[in-house]
Amino acid sequence: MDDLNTVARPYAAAAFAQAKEESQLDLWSEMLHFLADVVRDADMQAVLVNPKVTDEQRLTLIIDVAGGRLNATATNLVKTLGQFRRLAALPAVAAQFDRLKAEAEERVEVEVISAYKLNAKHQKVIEDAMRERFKRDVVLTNHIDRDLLAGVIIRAGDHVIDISARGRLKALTQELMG
Amino acid sequence: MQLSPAEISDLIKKKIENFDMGAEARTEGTVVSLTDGITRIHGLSDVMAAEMIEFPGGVYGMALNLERDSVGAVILGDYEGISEGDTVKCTGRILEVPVGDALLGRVVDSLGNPIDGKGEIATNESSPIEKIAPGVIDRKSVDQPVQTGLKAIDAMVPIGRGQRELIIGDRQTGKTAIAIDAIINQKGTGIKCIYVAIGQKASSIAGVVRKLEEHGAMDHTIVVAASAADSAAMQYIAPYAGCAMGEYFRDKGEDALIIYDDLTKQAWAYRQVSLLLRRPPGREAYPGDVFYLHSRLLERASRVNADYVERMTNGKVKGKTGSLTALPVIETQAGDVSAFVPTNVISITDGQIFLETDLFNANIRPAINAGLSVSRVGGAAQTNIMKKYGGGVRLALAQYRELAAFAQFASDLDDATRKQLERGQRVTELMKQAQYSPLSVAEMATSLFAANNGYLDDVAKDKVVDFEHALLAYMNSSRKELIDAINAEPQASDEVATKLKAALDDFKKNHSW
Repeated sequence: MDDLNTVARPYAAAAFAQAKEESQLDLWSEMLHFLADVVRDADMQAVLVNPKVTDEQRLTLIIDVAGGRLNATATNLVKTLGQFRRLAALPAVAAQFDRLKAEAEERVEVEVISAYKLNAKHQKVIEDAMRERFKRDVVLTNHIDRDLLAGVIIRAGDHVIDISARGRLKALTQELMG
Repeated sequence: MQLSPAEISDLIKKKIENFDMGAEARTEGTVVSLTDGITRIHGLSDVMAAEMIEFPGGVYGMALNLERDSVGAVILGDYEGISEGDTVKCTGRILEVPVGDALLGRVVDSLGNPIDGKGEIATNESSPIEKIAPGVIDRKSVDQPVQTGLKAIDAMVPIGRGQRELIIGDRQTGKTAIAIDAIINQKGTGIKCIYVAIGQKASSIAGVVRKLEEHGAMDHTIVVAASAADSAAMQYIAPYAGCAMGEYFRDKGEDALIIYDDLTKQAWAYRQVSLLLRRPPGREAYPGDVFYLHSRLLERASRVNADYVERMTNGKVKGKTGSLTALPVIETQAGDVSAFVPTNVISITDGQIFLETDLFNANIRPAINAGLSVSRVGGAAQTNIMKKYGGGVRLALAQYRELAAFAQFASDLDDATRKQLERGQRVTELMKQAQYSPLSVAEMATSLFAANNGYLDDVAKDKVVDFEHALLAYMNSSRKELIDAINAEPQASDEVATKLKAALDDFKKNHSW
């Protein structure tokens, strides 16, 4: 996973630059995620690691599957990846592309995990607070996890703010255990 | 099932009351791999170098390698419960240990947790384990002695407060014995001691603690133990943890003595950690920063001036200097002092006490090689009387060594040579001292005075040790006031010399040995 990220970095940067030139960030993101899904597929994984399949065959297969959903430059990216045998890095490329895209659009994705569904007012409070904190536009998604008992966990990338009852109980347990 | 003293409901209630309910805002990461106590973590975008990171189940680690896509960290403690995919949290704190007077008399691990079964340590102060040493402006020159209570050391290689004096020698040459004697001799002097045991057998550490207790030396001593069974990371950080505890005393205008026993094993532990973190190996497979590993540690042992102490205590302590004296121990392999780590530490320290297997086997204990042992700054700190009477010893031994080699071939020697040889033999005998029997300044001065003034010349060579015993027993009973006077003011005045002369004449005339 580590290595793939390192491998993916230049490809993601190149794809992003290209997408920006074409002014088609959304389309590129869609294409890359589709390719990532293709590569993640179990059958496709088997093909990717099968030594009997030639590089040529692998490349043709992916392009055939993706078919009409890729534009010319994206097809070229797949070819380049195939040439250097880096097709397995496609999911990482897609993830990094999204990160670059979010960065460029000054947008941060915030995941709120709560015990109960957030109402509009609470959602607004959290959105405002996060906008203040990250100085970015906030895209908020809400997930429900009954195990939290009460409160929320707010997650934005690596940053986690835990104000759930479960989190506090855990901290208290640890404090008492020394 | 037995309850621990911390489980009384009142205490638990208090803990719950004081529990900080603030929101936790942290960066998180995921464990990607775990090998031999080293983890790679994905995420943790805000982590700092040497920051404490928290694994599930209250296990802590220390971030060491900050790379582009991952963080390399060592786990401090058990890593059996941790698995790939676990969530790791930043704590926002550099690794720190508890410090304070409450630690005295206790045995703690590298993180400052008590391991002596005497309950919690009542201190709420803590200090980061890695600190920058005091700068040039904050220092004061070394001019007060640390008495080790060993004649051979206090006379020939004196140690000053704030000095770094290396104890080096092969295995089984009495390195730890010297360190323990030095700790025992600090009883009642106000010097606090820290004994850091690194990579030793747990039984040896228990033995040391028992000996210190027996001699009433635990009251002024902290033992930091990272035994051979502890992880390499714990062994690596133990000296820094001990140093932080010692700096607490230094910074409040007191004197402290720290013993790192031994830094060879710490370097091994660091080598292991570094290689597992995939840092490139260099000479003897040590990483590139093994010199800095020891230099930054030993540089923290220092004497600081009153201004510094005043600043560190926010003006509470005025006009007092503080010091942290370090006695690092290095174990050589077959006397090879030119190996990597020994040469490094020799060059960092202000002198070394060199112990030899041959001398040890020849029953000369402490087995100090007087020619190779030096103290580069201690002379300035020696008490006047030890300087005056101890000066002749070094010279006598140096001349003796030169002649002894040559005299083996010559059958008849001239009078002067023979005399020097005999003097040397007797001084060598006189420098012997049993373990756990440190001497006061006055006792040492008496022995040295006797040697310098020819009182030993007519004592049979193999009777010198007995002579000294009888002499000191006589001095402590019949001449108590003289001993007390010298201890109170260790000056080599004419008056003291006259009195010592009278005492020795009386002893030789009227006593047997």
